[in-house]
This record gives sequence, C-alpha cells and structure tokens, in this order.
Amino acid sequence: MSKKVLVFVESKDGKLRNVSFEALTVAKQLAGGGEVIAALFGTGATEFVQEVSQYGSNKVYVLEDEVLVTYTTDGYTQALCQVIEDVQAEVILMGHTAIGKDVAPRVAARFGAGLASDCIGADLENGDIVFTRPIYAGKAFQKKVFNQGKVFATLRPNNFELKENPVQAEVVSFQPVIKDLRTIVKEIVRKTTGGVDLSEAKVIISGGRGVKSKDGFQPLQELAEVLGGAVGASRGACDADFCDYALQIGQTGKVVTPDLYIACGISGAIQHLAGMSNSKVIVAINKDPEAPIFQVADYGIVGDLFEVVPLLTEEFKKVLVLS
Amino acid sequence: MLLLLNFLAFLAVTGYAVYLFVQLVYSRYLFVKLGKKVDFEPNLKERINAVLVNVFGQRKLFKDKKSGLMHLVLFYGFFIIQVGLVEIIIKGFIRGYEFPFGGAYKYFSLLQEWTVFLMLCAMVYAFYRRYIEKLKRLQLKRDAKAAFVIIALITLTIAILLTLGFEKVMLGQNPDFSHAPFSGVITAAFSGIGKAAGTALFYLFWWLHLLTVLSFMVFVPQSKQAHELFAMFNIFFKKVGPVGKLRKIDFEDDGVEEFGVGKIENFTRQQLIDLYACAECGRCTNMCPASVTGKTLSPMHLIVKMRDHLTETGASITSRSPWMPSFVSGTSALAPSLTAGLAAQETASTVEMPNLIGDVITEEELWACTTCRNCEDQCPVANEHVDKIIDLRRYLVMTEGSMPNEATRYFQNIERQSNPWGINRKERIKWREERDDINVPTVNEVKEFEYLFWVGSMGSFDKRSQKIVQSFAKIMNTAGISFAILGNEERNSGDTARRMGNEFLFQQLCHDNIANFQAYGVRKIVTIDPHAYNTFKHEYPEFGLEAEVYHHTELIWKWIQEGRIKPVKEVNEAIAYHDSCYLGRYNNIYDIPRQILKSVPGVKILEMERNKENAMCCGAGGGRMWIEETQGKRINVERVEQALDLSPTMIGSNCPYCLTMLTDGTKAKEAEDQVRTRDIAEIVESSLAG
Amino acid sequence: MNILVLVKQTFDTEEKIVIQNGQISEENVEFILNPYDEYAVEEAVKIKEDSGAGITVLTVGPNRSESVLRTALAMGADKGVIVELEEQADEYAIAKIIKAAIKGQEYDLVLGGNMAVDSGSGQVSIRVAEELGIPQVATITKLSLEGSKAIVERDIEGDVEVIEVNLPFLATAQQGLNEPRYPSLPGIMKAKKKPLERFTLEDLELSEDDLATRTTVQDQYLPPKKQAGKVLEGEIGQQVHDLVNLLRSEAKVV
Repeated sequence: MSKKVLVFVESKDGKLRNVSFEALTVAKQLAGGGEVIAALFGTGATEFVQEVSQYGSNKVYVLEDEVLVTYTTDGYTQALCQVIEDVQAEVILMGHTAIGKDVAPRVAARFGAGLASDCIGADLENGDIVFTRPIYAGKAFQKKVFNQGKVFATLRPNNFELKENPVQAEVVSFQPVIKDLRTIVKEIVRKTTGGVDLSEAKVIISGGRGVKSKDGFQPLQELAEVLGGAVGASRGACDADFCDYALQIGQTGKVVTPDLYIACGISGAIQHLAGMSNSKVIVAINKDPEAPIFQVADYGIVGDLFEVVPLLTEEFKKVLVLS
Repeated sequence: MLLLLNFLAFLAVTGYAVYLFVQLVYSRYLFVKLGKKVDFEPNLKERINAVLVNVFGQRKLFKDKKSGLMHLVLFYGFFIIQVGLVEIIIKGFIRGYEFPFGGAYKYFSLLQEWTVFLMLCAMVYAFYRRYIEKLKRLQLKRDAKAAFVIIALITLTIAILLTLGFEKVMLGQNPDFSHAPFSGVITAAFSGIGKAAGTALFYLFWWLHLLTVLSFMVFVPQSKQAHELFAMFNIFFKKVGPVGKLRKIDFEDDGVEEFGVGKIENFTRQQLIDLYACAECGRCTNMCPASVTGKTLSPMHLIVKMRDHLTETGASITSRSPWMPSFVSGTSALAPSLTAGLAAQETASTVEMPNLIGDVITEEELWACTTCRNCEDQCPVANEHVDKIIDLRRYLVMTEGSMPNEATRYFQNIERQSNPWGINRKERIKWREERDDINVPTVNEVKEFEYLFWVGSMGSFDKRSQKIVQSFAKIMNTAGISFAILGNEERNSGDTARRMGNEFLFQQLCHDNIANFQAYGVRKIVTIDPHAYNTFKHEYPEFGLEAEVYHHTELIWKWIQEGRIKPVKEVNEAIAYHDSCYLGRYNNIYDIPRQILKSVPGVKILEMERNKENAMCCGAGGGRMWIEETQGKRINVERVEQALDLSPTMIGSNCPYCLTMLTDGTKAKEAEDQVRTRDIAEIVESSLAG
Repeated sequence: MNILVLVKQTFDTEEKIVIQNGQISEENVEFILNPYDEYAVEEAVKIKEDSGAGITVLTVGPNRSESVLRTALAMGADKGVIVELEEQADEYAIAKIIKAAIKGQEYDLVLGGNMAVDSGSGQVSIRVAEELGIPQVATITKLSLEGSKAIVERDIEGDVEVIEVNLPFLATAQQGLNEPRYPSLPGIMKAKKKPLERFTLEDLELSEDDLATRTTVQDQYLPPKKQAGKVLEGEIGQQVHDLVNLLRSEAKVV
C-alpha cells in the first residue's frame, strides 16, 4: 500500500520553512515505502535541494521560474497542478501557512479532491490515512479520512516531530507553463519584525496590557532573544497601541502552538486563550493572582513582570551558557 | 399738555413693547407645542410641592449658597418692585402720586427702597462673580446677553432711586431718610438745583426706568432670562415619579418606523420646556464627570444648543420670527446663534436645517454621558438632561444602528449569552463553587425562599465582583436568611442596555426576567447591583413586576439592627466612602451604608468633598463601563484622586461597577498596594465573628 | 453591481462543546452568523451604501441557518438564498451545491469569511472561486473598488500584500476588514419582508459525483483535561530560579 506523496516545500526570506520539514517527515511516514517528492518553487530553489534531501525525499522537483518568485494564487495553482500531474502524486502535503491556506483548496478543487486543512496529526491506520485536526478553535478535535480521489492536507506548524532521513535525491528540473495571472501583487508591506516567525516559533514571549507601553515590550524582547523565540501580544496590548496587530495572538489574531509560551501581564481573556492554549508549556507572569491565565498555565509566578522578566532573562543566560 | 403727550408716548412705547413681548412668548409657546403630546399625570400635590420647594423655596439654588442668596433677593425683589413700578409709572402722569395706603405708605416706601437697594447689591455681586471672581461655571458661555442682564438690572435699580429722588426735588420736598433712605440721599444732594431742573431730571429718569423695564421685558424671552417665564412651568409640568425613570417605548405599534428622538420635534413638549427654562447657570456642567475630565459633553451646552436649534427649527416650521425687534437680531453680539436661525427663516424652503444629531449634538457627546444625574440634581429649574441623551441614543441605536463598536459588541454579547463579555451563559452559576463555606441554593434546589438573590452579571462573571456576592451570601448564611438564586436561568437585568439606548433589548430582557420571577413565585428581590436595583424597583413595575426590591446594604443594615449579624471584629481602616449614583442620586440612599460602616468596630469614615448627592460618578454608568474612554482624563482616576486626597487606607463602595472603576483607578495611581477597594458587604463580612 | 455573500451559521464562539455519541451536541446552543462572514456581509453593505449594489446572501445548511440570512438581510442585504441540507457534507460537495444554487446568476463580486469558526477549514469560498472560474483574494483587510478593478489588501501572516484584480473575483474576509454594524430595528423589520429563496438538493442540478463527499469525519473528541498548573512560591528571585529549573528538568522545553 505504498503511496506517492508530494510535498510543497515553502521558503520565506531565503530560508526553508520549518513546517516544510515537518511535512516531509510526515510524507515519509505516510508514503509507506512509496516515493516522497518535494517541489521547490522560485529562482534559486536548487540551493535548497541538499536541505530537503535530509528529510528523505527521493525526488526534488525544482521550478526555477521568475513568475514563481512572488506568490500568486494563479501561478502557484497552475505550477502545482502540473507537478502533481507529472509525478502522479496521490497524497499532497504542505504547511498551513498563508500560501498553503490559499493554494491548497484551489488545487484540491481543481482535481475534484478533498482536503484536510490545519492538521495537527496524520497517521496510517490499517493502511488508511487519518488526519487529526482541531475544530471549534481547539475546543474539540476531529479525525478525518478520505473516501476517494487524491488526498490533500495542510499541516499546522509546530505539531509534528522532525525526523532526519538523509537520502540521495534525484533533482528534476521542471518548467511549468504559467499563463493569465489574474492578480497583480503591487506591494508587500512588512509589518512583522524580522527574526523568528510567530506561527513557527518554538518559544513565544507574549505581552498584555500589563506591559503598559511600547517600551514595556523591551524586557520581553530581550528574553525572547536569549531563548531564540518570538514576541507576541494579546489583543489588549494591540488595542492599547503598545504594538502592531501583526503580533496579536488569539482567536482573532494568530493561533500558535509553541513548546513554551510565556504570558507576561496577560490576564487571559478567552479570546486570547483560543490562540495559545494548545502550547506545550504555558508560563504565566501576572501581578493579579486571580487572573484567569493562571488557570491554563503550567507554571505561574505572581509578581510584577518588570521585576520577573529581567531576572528570568539573567537566569536563562546563566544556565544556557553553562549547558 | 405735556403730561398728555407724555401719556401718549408712554402708551405707544409700552404698547409696542407688550406687543413684541406677547409675540415672542407666543412664538416660543408654539415651538414647545411642536413637541409630542404626552398624557399629563395630574399628581397635583407632588407638582405644587415641587413648585413651592424649588420656585418659591429656591432650594436647588442654595447648593451654591452665595449665588442662592443673590438669586433669592432678585427673585423676591422682582415681585416686590412690580408694585412700586406701577406706582412710579402713575407718578409720571399725576404729580406726586402715592398709593393710597394711608399710614402704611411709609412702610411700603421703605420696603421698596430696601428691595431696590438689595437688588442693586445683588446685581453688583452678580457682576463681581461673573467678571471679577470669574466663577468657573459662569465662564462656560460668555456672551453679551449675560452682560446685558447685569447692565439692565443695575440701570433699572439706579433709575428707580433716581426717579424717586428727583421726584422730591421736583415737588420741592425734603428728603425723608427714615422711609426713603436711598432715594433720600439723591434728594438731599440735588435739593439746590431748583424745581424746574428737578422736573426735567425726574422725567429723564422716569423714561430711563420705563425704557429699561420694557426693553428688558422684550429681551427676556429671547435670552437665558426666559427662565423667568418658563422655569416655573417646567418645574410644574416635569415628569413625576421616580427620578431618572425612562419613558417606555411601545413596540407593539406597527406603524412606527422611528424610535427615540432624531428630530427636535420628536421630544415631548414637557422635554422642550426644559430648553427655554435653562438659565445658563452652568451648575450642571460644573458637576458633570464628563465635562470636568475634558470630554466634549457639557450638559449646559447640550441644552443651550438644543434650545437654539428648537428656536431655529420652530421659526422655520411656523414661519414666525423668533427675534424682535429685527434690528436686534442684526447684532450678533446679542444673539450669537442667530445667523443660522435667520438664514433658515429667510430661505426655509431651500436651506436644509441642521441635523439634531450630528450637526447640533455630536454622537461623541451623547456617548460621553454616564447617566449619573449629577446635572439634573444640580439644576435649579428641574431640567432633565439624561432622558434627552438617552432618547437621542435610542434613535442612534435602534433607528440608525449607529454606535461605538464596543456598544455593538456589548449588545451582541447580551443577546447571545446574556452577559456583557459574551462568556458562556452556563457558567453564570460557577461563582458559588469558588468558596466552600457558603451555601447558595438555586430556586430549583429549595422549596421555599424569602429573598431571590439577584447576583447580576458582574457578580456572576467578574472575578472581583464574585467576591462581593460571595461575601453577601456568607452574610445571609450567617443571618439565617432563606434565599435562592436563579443560577444559570438568571439573565442580564437590561439596565445598561436601556441606558445605552437599546430599549428593545431591555424590554426583551425585562419580560423574560419578569416571567422568570413569576414562575418561581418571587416576592422579594435583593441585589448587590444598584443598577439592577434601580431598574427592578422603579422601571420593571411598569412592565408587570410585583415584588419588593432591596439593595444589599438595606438588608445588611436591617439585619444588623435586628441583631441577626454582629460586626464584632475590628476593621482598622480609614475608609473613603464613595456613593454610587444609582443608590444615591437615583434612590436617595446615603445614610444606610454609612450607618453600616459606623457599626463596624475600628472603621473610620472619611467623607470626600464631593459626597452624597454631589458625589462624582466613577465613570461606569450609562454603558461607559464597556466603552473605551479615550478623550481627556479618565473619570475613575479623577474620582480616585479625590479619594486619595483624604489619605484613606481603603475606598469603600456599594456597587460592583464602582468598585471595578475605583480599583482600576488605584492601579492607575499605583496606589493599589496602600489603598484597597472593598464593597460594604466585604467589609461587614470581615467583621463577623468566626 | 451584483454581490454574492456566502455565509454560514455557527456556534457562538463562547459555546462549550459537548460530544454525545460522537456527535457535537446542539442542545441549548446559541447560533450566530460566523464572525468572518459577518465582515463579508458588512463589506458588501458598505459597497452598496457607497456606490449601490444588489446583495444576495447564500447559505447551505440545516433549516435553522435561516436566522443568519435574516441577520444579513437586517444589516442591509437584499435577498437570501438557503439550500437546505440536514446531513453532513464536506467542503467539496458544499462548493458544488453553491455553484448549482447560483447557476445562471452573474456576480461581479463574491465575498465570504476566511474561515468558519466551527470547522476552521477555510476551504469553501476558495473552492467556489475555482468552481466559478474566477480569481480569489483571501484574508482581505481592505477593499477599494475602482471601476472594473479593485485594489485589495490582504493579511499574509501579519504582513500586508497589496493586490490589483479585475472584477469579477472572490474575496474572503479577515478580521480588521471592518466593524460589522448592529442591525437597526427598522432594518430588522424590513428584513422580514425581503425575499428568501429556498432550495433542497432535489431542486438543484447536481450529479451523483457532485454529492459524493471526498472526506468523512470519522470521530470527534474533546481534548484531554489539562493538569492543574503550579503557582510558584517564595521570594521572586527563588521563584525565577525554580521556574528555569522546572522548564529544563520537568517540562524539558528549554
């Protein structure tokens, strides 16, 4: 029951996205000995081949096309469809990223196929692929199976363990035929600060109204740097104009699932919890012992974040240097 | 011959002035009549009483003792000098005429002299307050009309004395210092000028006096002095019943497509009298929590702007000139709001009238009101600002669907989960699980209960307020009271929705709640929320509620007096006690909470400068709790600063909304570690034995 | 200008999820118009107010879904269409049903939410764009129409992409696009009189393959209850020290 699995590998800011490695790992597992094919889009894609082959893809399709440098739905849909046709892929995986969310339903529809989106689990049960995905903002989960046709799935970043499996990959240079782009990207305005992307960060230091000002985020930033994490915020902090909405975590902002989530001065409104409660370990730092955030936290410190966070930074600096 | 000419001239001038006056007043009467007719509830006793207390007793005016005294002199002086005025006019036609009072005439003369003199002093003091002391509330609206009042009345009083003084010179009489002490001085000073000169000066001042009286008469309806005509009617016709009670809207009437007030004519006539009754004294704005913290809302300007708008609109609809004589209206100094009015008048058909909401009153102003009623409490002429604001909000919310985003979310959350946060309604009961030393049954868990404990949305869901209801439950347990809660069947009281203008949502909640009360045979209701208390007690009966309603402080005090609970443990706190608006100004409960605090050993009550009926709002009422406060200073911070001035160790309150605002205020002042904030129930609980 | 808005009725976001016999219980549940769809409706009504438009709102779902059409009509939409569907269907089939329900109608703009808060899959609108053969712009935060084209801003993981696209196209709404209005009472009354078209699957031209779902939900379950957390005690410096140790030794995340 081996299957041909295609993984759309995504790069951002000159780096492959971690979720693509997760997808490759899942692909290897679901292929059941079948072929795992990676597809890399855009000029300069060839340089990633080595990295991709670390995760067990036997074949790497490289689409070094100018048109694919900037994402457009039409361009990527056409290219992806042609690759799928070319490799006769049965299972198609990609990250549940901005691109994945946009292109996967379109391509699945074009093939008249189903799609399991935002999956946090993918397993083989009696030869069938069973996807697990959160519903109702993580308040419940569902297992989804496919009845017929190709299998499409997008994977939520940070939910799959990486397994390296270096192989010698065959590189296929593929020239897609792309025409009639119906949308034109005029401009991309960067709002996120460089560094670690929130949705893929392993560690997130998040600030709420308790940070009191724009400058109040400084100690959080320092802690994030020490831990190699990213800084996020609650809706309250964004509403109060302490930071940009791009950092907002919650039901209406980003949904994140890092290994470690440190909530500083966040009371823990339900809207916020919906965006972070699936984090592996949650630490709450808040002055108010009654704050609901403590109810979801694994560890809590009742205290002033401006006192606790710098101490924490120092403590981590000490132990991380030692190890 | 000269006397005849004088008489004819008098008739002509007076006749013209009276004509103008009647026209002007009649116009305003017609403008007020544009308003909606409402059923007049007689309640004559209450109405006459209001007139006696606030018109003849001038009670509200004495909230500012100095101005009150000044006004008292002018008010009664005005009546007294009317009599003298008639006599003086006759003196112009009959030389040396005196009222035939016989021996009592001397006293009449003395009364007139002193009255005139005191009025002169009052006017000089008025001048001093406005232009030298520069009393803040009198600087809110600076225009020539206010100056004209002072000049005219000073001129009038001086002219009276001069007329009387020169009359004696004309008649060659000696000054009578014992019965004409003030005009006597003039007689004495000018006795040497001869009868002829005396006669000329007598007529000069007689005319000055007459013309001042007449021009002032014509001026009155066109200015803030209209309050002299309208205030009494306003006080008489004002809404009777509980203060601040809002008018019910009948949603059964299918033909209605407009709810609330979007046009000035859609106010009731009684509401429109308010506008002309305003004396622009500024007492309302002076106390308004929104105004003093720098919001655009000023209750006085709200009324004045609507008054001018009514005049303009009325002029346009009735095609009557509201300003006379017309040359007066040309001088913008005397009639600042006139330009638009005239324009509207001349080209009524072509120029669009400004919109009441948007052009005259902004939405921002309307949403700034906390419905605290401090303005209404201050108003000497019994104006009601809050119900007008809510009528305008009703139009915005129900007819236009226009409101701040937070208000939209608030309403949706109430509609969906019956609480302001939209938290799952099945969690309403959870608060009772947090303390295992209290026994709080639901109506389904007990057969009988005396009191239905209305926990309220704050008490049920807000972490901080849960402590209050837990404390009160503990107190009831200790006192051995039989009570029950509705649990997850409790809904929102609807008070906030109503005050935010969503009468429709309020009535839905009201009907549901009353049906629930009836289903469980509720006879007595107790709540920790003054807002729910007020609406249950005064507004729900109109929709069919028959129950006794208590605020928890009322019952705590009763139980202390009955010996059911005994505060024995010392609570060594200096407590700055904050009166909530809905328990205080809406329900006149000031002493009970203080009595309770006094009964707790160790407590020292600190009274804030603004306390009881003058207490400043915490900033939460009227839906403000749920709307971000971005303009000016935060009201709760201002109020907390007032409390901190007393160096308290604790701030006490009787309302969960106030408590939240005050707690946030102490945090903003970084005083939360030194000054704790507690509800009275919590203070009492901490004083109970064991 | 004709606008089609795709909407879905969902649980209120605060509802607790109860599972009975593998099914999500709908007992005592408050239903709402999916919040992202509400942005889409609001945007359509704003376009109507600015430059005039006819707005059709369409939903596929059980009978109770009619309430969200009434909400949309009260907000200012002109016509409602409901395709009654009591049984479960996957995104593939629903897109096919929508295509069949609007057959013969021309729309200049199709709007939908970027996802439904219940299923969270974010597929149906995009699939409809594919079925209709029109371009899509997903997760939009701003929409400006300029004649026959539009300038659209979309949220891509916090950054903003500015896109130019010609009508007709489909856009999915992201939070931040607008603030949906509260329907006025006259609006609610008028909504009761606005046309509402009902279809059952039998009324529509659908092939067997169109209705053959590609995916099936095999199981639904609740997440395991989280262990109670630890609130640390002691002097702050000690607490911080303990926390770092716990994160390294017990939780093993650093």
